Amino acid sequence: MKKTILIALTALAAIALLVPAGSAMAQASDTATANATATIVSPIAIQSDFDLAFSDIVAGAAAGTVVVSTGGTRTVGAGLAGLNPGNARAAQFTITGAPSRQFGIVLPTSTTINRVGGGSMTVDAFTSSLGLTATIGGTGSSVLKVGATLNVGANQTAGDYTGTFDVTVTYN
Amino acid sequence: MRFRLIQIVGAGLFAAVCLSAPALGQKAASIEVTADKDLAFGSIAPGPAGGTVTVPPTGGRTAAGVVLLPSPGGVGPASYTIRIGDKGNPHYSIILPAFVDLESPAGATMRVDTFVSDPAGTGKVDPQRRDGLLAVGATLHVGPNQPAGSYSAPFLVTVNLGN
Repeated sequence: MKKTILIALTALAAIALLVPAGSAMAQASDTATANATATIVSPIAIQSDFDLAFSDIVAGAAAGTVVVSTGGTRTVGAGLAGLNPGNARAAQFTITGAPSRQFGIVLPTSTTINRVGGGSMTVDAFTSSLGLTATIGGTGSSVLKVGATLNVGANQTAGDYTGTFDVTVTYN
Repeated sequence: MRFRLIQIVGAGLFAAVCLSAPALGQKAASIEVTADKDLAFGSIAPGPAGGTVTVPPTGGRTAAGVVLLPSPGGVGPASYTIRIGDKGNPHYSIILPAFVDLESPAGATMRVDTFVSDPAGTGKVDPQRRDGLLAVGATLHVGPNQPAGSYSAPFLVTVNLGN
């Protein structure tokens, strides 16, 4: 009888000792996986394709203006005469970047064009064929045309006048 | 002699039952973390000198040296739900990765490091509901003229019971 009790108690003790081992299955730590993501788009860039050209103008006794539209059409103001209208042209730029991304265009307020040997004229009222905010085309590029107004002085000195202007594009 | 042996075994059994009482009497405490949302840096235009984009665990996005763009896919920290069973200690500690390298399908990489969590270091679930939220942000390093593409990589966050 005593032997039986001893065996039974030993078995119980063995089972009881196993229980704490089972409780070790409770999770004291856990790990989760998430993704980190980022999208890099192509940088925006602009290159000049054609210069802005007012072509040949005959100055008069009074000051006047010459407008070249973004479409390349030249309008010569009162007091001036225009020659070789076919050589007038809007400036053209190609903008490249991420397809369908919106970007902003900054045009100059004005620029001065100069004649070798002296004399200058102001070009202002720049216009953009794309407005001041546009979207890069689905192929990753867009064409921008820029027109402006040339201010010709009274009895402006004859000669070739040139200057430069900057157009800036940035992603919005 | 036999009586003494029984006594000894009996004492052993008593001790064993006492040790196992928490396991037998109530459910053991356990912790579980579930990822609900990815860490998203959004769309970025790289610059010639490279730069960084930081998404803090509290949300938002800041940049240096790169241009941040509208991001249709969203921007924000990773978020997780922490659950602690039982009625025991509601505190937990957080282990974040040191860094992870994101990769594009073309094989270009960008490193993400300086992981920061909210709460930071240790947290506490709601003592009644037994759950809580964890947010994780980090800093992305964009290389000079980083190649365009969609970059991603998984990263691990571990939580431990107690503090």
